[in-house]
Amino acid sequence: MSVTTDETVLRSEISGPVPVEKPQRRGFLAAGHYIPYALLLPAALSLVAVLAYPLYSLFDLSFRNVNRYAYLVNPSLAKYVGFDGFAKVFGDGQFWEVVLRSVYFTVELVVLSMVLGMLFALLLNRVSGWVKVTAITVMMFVWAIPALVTGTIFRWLFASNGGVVDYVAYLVSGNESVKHYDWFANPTIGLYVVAAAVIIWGALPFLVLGLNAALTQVPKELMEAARLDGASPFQAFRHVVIPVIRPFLMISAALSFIWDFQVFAQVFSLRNTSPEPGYWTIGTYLYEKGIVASKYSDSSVISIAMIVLMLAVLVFYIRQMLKIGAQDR
Amino acid sequence: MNRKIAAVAAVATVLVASACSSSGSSGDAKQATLSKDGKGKKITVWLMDDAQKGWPGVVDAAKAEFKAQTGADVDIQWQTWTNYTTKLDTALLSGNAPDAIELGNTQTAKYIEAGSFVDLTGVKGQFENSDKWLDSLAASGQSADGSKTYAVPYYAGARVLIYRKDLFEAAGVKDAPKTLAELKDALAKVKAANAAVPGFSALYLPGQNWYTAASFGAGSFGVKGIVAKKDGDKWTGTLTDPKFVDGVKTWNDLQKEFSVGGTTTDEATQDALMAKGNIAAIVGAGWELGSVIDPKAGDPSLKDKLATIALPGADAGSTTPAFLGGSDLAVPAKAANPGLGATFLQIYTNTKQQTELAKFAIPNAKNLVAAYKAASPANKATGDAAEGSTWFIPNSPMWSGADETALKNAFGAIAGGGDPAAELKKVQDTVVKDLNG
Amino acid sequence: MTTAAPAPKVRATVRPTGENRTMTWIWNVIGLGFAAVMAFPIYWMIITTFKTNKDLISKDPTFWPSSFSFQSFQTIFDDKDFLPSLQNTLLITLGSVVLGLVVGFLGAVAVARFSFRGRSFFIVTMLVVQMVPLLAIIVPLFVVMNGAGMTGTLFGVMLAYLVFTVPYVIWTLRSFIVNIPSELDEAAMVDGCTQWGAFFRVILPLTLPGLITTGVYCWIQAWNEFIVANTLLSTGGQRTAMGWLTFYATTPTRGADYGAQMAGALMVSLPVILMFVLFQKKVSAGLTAGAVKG
Repeated sequence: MSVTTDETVLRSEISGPVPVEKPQRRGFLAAGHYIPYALLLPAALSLVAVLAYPLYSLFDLSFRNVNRYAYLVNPSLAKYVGFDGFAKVFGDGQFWEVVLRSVYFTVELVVLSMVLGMLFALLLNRVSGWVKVTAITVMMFVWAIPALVTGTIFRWLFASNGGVVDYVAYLVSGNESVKHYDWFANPTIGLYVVAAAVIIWGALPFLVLGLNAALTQVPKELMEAARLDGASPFQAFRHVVIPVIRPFLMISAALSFIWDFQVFAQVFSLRNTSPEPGYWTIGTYLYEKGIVASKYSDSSVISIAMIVLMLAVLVFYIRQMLKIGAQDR
Repeated sequence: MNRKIAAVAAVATVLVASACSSSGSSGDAKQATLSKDGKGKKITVWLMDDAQKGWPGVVDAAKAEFKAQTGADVDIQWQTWTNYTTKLDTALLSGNAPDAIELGNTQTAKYIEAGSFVDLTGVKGQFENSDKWLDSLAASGQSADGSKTYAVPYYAGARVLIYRKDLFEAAGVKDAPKTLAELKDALAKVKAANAAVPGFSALYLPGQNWYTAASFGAGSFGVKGIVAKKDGDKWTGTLTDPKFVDGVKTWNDLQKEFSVGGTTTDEATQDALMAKGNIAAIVGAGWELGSVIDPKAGDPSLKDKLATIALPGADAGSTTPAFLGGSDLAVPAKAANPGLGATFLQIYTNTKQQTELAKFAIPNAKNLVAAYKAASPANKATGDAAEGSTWFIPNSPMWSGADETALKNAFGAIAGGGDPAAELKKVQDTVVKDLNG
Repeated sequence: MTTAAPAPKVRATVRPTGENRTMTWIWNVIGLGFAAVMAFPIYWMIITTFKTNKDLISKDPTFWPSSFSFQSFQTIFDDKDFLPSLQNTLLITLGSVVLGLVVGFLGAVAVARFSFRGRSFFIVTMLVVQMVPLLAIIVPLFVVMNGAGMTGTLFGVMLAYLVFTVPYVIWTLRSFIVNIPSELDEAAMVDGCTQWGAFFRVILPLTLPGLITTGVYCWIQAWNEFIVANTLLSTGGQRTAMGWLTFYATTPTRGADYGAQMAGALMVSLPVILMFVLFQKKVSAGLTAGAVKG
């Protein structure tokens, strides 16, 4: 690529957009107004084709009482009940208890996984090549092993009968009694320690590799310039690295929030398909109260409540994120 | 790319159609006929992989006999239990449902209510041994009032006591215990003799194994109406009945006294743990004996040291009622060839195939259990248990996995030190609310 | 906390000196420690597949098999359903990743490079779509696909997977594309490239790290997905590798074969891992050279 000079890069990144002749239409393909729509067409078309009916049905079901399979098969038996379904779910004390637990749990997961992910992504740029390859290979393993199996493995690791974690604790402490410590007896420990470990463990490969890829976009020249200007390492990170990776940082944080808030599979398999109420976050609540019982309307109401809750948390954030890539920023 | 676009367009066109046409009609379920006219046809049958790994020969024999009688071929599509409910929910809704399916006997009620199965009442008489089907299993295939039959019993399973003869004998217990009191005495001796073994369980009773815990409740309460019984249109709970609570307390006492380290787990790992050597007895399904001595995951040297008996009851000669789990077979109402599907089920469950099946699992009829018991000494106990008094969950379309989870957790909480009466009250409220919709 | 680690990094990339070589080794040790912690559960899974029953029934866990048994792998390779189901998974994954990346990339360029009416609506919709629990829409999804005659076909599953790949690709790739200065496209055009030439020669290579990251993510999601594939394929008698793995789970008539299940999972995952590691080595030179330099 001979087209780029370091100068161009520096100028565009440091002193903001360069004045160009047509400020409204920057970049390639900026010829016609139809272009963005043409680019979006395949995405919109395929999603509408696959999702339009399921989403319509999600809303439709939430206003009906299709809470048994017979009603799903014979829709004429069911009737529209307005907001009764919502009143029922919102009137359930357990629902709010679960929402609160989901919020705590999600905050823990997002903060820990983002901080750890960032640290390790930076670390990967500091280590020798072979260490980096080793770490990436390990992370690919972690990522590629199906969730079906990871639940089983962690159940073994934390078992109170012959589990490795207890055994290592015993080897370290020499205390025979920790050998049969039951990690799952107290849901607070089981959820916020063990389940959180499983989920963060599973989330790190995506975050570390993603953040590491984003870091490659930080121009070396900028770092050099910052250093020559006498910026401290922290200042350089804060003012050079963060602005460049900010889009990915925000988006991965938002996605982590969405995934962690509706987390289900890991907790479900960790508790061997029957999680105790103390382990229920909103994803498990949806499964136990709606899906598994064939309560299609209740599932829809809970799903919609989940989406609304997530949007409420993200509303400020969405405004920030909309600006990414908007030409009139 | 062209193919993609075409397909997307196809989906889009169908959207409107499917949104409008999804309302089916089924006031009265279709009546079954047994069709023999299958020349050049091929029917699709969903069977669980239990048969694929356990008794493929029986399936092949049935296929051959079916081909001879009707001229049609059978395409067996092997299924697994994981996520099977979703699969059934969707497949039974669609126009191309299989011609015959297997499903768990706790899953049938909701599909029967929804009219998803062909009514077999009229042809039931032509199914061999249909008058001698195992009670609990037959009931799971019937309408709520028992007047109509929609599903055919396939095979059953029951839990028994699997114990270490050598450890019992070393502790001075020569004969198999005949009553619960004798069992308790025996376990106390075994426990005392092995006091030096770390983490030793004379009887391992994981807290979340609710089928076993509720069996003790059924032992004192009776086998009818376990969990809940129907009064007119309403279900009322029976978990808090003092007799049931008494039985649960018996279980809880045994659990507290003789079981180590299993309060928050279910029975999934008990075979592997028993193979490790510090468990003298478990309550498990018949095949679990093979699991304990499995050369790959267990300890083959225990082969001659294990024995099984039906779990004793309060009096000599009685047993603690076992939960009768099992599988049923049914013909989906939307099958393309329901008549041929029914014929295949008739052949697959006839005396010949079921006698062969009896080598591997408890067959569907009482008169064939003898063959099962004769097939192997280990089968005697499970056969006894199935022939003895057995219990079953409420036969309600509203029963679901959520209720089983709630019950597992309730008994786990009791094992973890919760008050039995209070925990049972809590779970009863949940389950009865579900059952009454 | 975030401030500590990156600090010396800045200098090291600039000037590797003797002092920094020591630092590199310290970082290496920390990096290996992290890798070891991450790897332990995987290690445990792998040695489980080799353990003989002697190790399995020992009272305390053993960290190294006393002898190696290949029985679990024997079971897997003797299973005639293994390769066909792996092939189905491969086809579905390839199809959905390629489709998802192409469709998503175009969408990402649109939202990253243009302002247009409906842009905000589109972006928010893409976010909301990712919030919809798949479990809650599986039945209507089946109804749609069945109506289109695509249940029981691999292509139907590919299409269904676009539901989670496309929104994800659009969201994530956008963050990579905005970091490519738009002057680059113009510079390329000045150099005599056509608009599309500029696009393919400038934007595409610069988005490569992002494309790889999102592609790998989509690949793994599709590879390991179970419920949608299991439900949509039900009427055709086909199954994917994840469905095949459930054949080793506990049933009412036999116990789970965990050894075979673990070995199977390993065999199913290995192609993905190998592919990525090889791929990674090939592209990493281009990646680390500083993407913006092109």
